[in-house]
Amino acid sequence: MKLSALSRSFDGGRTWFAAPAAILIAAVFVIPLATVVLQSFFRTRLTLDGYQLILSSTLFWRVLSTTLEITIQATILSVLLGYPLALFLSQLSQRRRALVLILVLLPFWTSILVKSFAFIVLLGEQGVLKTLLRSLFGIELGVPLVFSRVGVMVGMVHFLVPFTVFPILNNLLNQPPELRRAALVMGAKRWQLFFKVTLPLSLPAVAAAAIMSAVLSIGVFVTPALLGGRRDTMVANLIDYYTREVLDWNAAAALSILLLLVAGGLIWAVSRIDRSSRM
Amino acid sequence: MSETISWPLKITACLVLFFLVVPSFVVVPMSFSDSREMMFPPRGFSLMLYREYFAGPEWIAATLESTVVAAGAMILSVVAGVPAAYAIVRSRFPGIHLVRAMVMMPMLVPTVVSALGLYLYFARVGISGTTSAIILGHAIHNLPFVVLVVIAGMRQMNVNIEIAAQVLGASRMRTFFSVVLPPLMPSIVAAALFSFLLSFDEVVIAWFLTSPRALTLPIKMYSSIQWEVSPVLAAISTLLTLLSLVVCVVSLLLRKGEIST
Amino acid sequence: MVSVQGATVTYAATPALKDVSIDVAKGEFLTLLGPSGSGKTTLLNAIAGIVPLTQGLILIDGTDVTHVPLNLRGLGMVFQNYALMPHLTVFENVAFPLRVRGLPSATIRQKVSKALDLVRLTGLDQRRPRQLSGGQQQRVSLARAIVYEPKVILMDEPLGALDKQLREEMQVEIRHLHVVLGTTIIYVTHDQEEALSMSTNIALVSEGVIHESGAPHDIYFKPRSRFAASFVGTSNLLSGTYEKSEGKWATVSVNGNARIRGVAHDKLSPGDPVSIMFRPEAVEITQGTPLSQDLNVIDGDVFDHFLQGATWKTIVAVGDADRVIVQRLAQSTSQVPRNTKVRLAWHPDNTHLLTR
Repeated sequence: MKLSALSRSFDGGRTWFAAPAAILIAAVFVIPLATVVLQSFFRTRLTLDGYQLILSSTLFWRVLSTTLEITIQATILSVLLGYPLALFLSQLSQRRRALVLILVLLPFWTSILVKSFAFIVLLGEQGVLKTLLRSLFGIELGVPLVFSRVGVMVGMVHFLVPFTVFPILNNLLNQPPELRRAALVMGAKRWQLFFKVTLPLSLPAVAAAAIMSAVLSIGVFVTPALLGGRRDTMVANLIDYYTREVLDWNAAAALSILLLLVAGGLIWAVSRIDRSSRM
Repeated sequence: MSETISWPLKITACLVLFFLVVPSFVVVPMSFSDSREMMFPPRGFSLMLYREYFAGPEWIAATLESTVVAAGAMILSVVAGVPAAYAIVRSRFPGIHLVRAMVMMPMLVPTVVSALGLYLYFARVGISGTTSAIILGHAIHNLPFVVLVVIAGMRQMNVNIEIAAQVLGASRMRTFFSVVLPPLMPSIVAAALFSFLLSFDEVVIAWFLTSPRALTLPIKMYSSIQWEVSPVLAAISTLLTLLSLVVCVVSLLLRKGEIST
Repeated sequence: MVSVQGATVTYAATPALKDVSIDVAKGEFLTLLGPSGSGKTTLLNAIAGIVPLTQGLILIDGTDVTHVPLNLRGLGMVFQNYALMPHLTVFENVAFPLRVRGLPSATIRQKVSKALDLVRLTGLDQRRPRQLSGGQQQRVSLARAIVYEPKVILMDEPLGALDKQLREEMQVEIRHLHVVLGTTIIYVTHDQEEALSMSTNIALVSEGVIHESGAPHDIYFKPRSRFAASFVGTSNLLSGTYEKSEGKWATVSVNGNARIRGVAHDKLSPGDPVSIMFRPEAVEITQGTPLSQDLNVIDGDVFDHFLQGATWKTIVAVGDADRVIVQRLAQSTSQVPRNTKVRLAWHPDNTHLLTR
């Protein structure tokens, strides 16, 4: 049907309907963001002191490397866990898939605080897991599972997996079934089909999932604060520290801009890898 | 697909699923514990923790604050987001891509950065630490999401119906209210519910904008977990999980209803 | 009633309509006929105001509406996919244009039931569109377009989504509505049978221009262009060279030897290339010499012979590359084996010489 030709020309000023949202975004998002940019260059006068302070501080570099470490590890783990789940979902009947998707979406809709509290309960020294291990198997895990790097990783991966599942699932569902049938008819075994057909076709989605994970992880605040130890401070927590404890707004703003640049750089880097791998 | 799923895949997937779901539910039995020691499994059954929550004035005040903020953010984000989604889907003006990018921006920028911006800006404007400030901050935070849900709902709609309405004499506004909105209701309600829930659970923006006058439930919980992990949190967590489940199920029912029409 | 003057519509450098002009008289049923992408729907949408003109004018009942927005032109429109509002009942769907005009409820009720009666949907007014069949939905769409008595009703391939039987029923109904209401109707379709059976006038559209327009029987029996000859019905087209004119017929030579006579519509000079057009049903297969000396005669070999519905179709190879299609009513089981040598004959009055 010539719908596209019709809808192409049918407009008549509908753009104005976006005005309230545009005003809201301009007033409550763009201007505050501009304020951060400005504040990063302003102490009592226009200056780069804020940036200098941050970039020369060992605390900053330690926190940055921790953040990148955690981000990369959490991204890899969440994709590794999300992929099999997406694969499983893609092979279910539509009805079952809808039901299982509710379970996948549930952590997405659960408050981060509820989840953090639950992990403390589960992984704490007197928590569910350790108690079970102690009473049932007599095993005493010396490693602290919460208020440590382990705790942060568990919390972050739990938060990220629902985000990685969806782009991969979408890709898998859109792969033409004829490819699969053709490969099987030509004699491919199940695992060959996966590694030679399914997986390569899904790589763009994996890259997308990884980028999304990385961008989400790099700015996390609550999880490292509640589930991490002293050595698991991430950039967002540092921004909070400079804002509320040190009361150095200039430094906090500079830090925020640096975070934005790092996040942007990460996206750029991953998309470059993705593009070159496709050539 | 009539083939059975390989069992290693089944096991792996189910383990991941288990990992995803367990935390939400592990707090439920604990919330009915009869002692202040957090033990699993709990020894006795009691509603004492729930009573502690409902009797505590600070908890109730925080819950009320969260409700007001969530309601305000929901209304703002829907009133701005629904027409914006309509414009994005139907407008042929080239500048609409810029508008779309602008509306999606809050999703792309780390929340802590926008929270700082709001804090600095609202301090300058003088509304820092008020409930309205948090409402505005949350409205922005939810807006991209509302727009995405409504856009998805609009894609199911036949543009010819709007064209027909106009040829039959209806003005643009009349077409929007009488012809576009009614079938779009399930998406709008789903978006509104999600917006409410997102605001109700939001921590970062609320943390930066908080003050003794504007203290939301998540902030109270956050401070509580940091200082001393109180068992009443189990009760609150269970109630919040229930809220999440209700919203999730209602929106799914709405979506199903929409598909069948 | 409707006058289109020099209408041009360009989408991103591609012209969809090129300087099109046409006049539609009051009460006429004009069909815009052409293949997909010909520009016929674009022309209809331009008249409706859905598509703005890059150049040109549109007048409706003497008023220039070129810059009038689509909701103020007071036209009626029916779409292929019905475009009914899913959340309204049949009654409310039909009442919509009346409510928009602020008419009182009593008047609305009266006009709506009259419209529903006309399309034979009385009693279904409380149903929702999804509870109706395709044909019923299209009738609601029709009722909605006539209820406010617009001066012109536009129809964009309204029967395209219906199956053959239903389509033929609806064709009769729409024609009946036209007779009863006397409204000017502009109808778009790619189905030439539909166009021939329903219209008072047909305009053939292709590649953004109107090739020909006229009454159905004129277009069918006296086409002026190759496009018209081949798009409307089936035609035989042979290439020839004009020689001379004698009386009411002109003589054309085919392949240098055979001489065919036919009706010429344009001024021709000897040596001009022409297309010789004649319909398959005008041809007879004879085994011996023809009865009349006036008839055009050509010899050939049978290539194929088969039954198609109520007619026998015979394809005869003539000359080096040409094929002539012969169509006769099937009254007996006549077998004409392949490669039989046959002689084809048809009257020059049924032969048209086309130059474009």
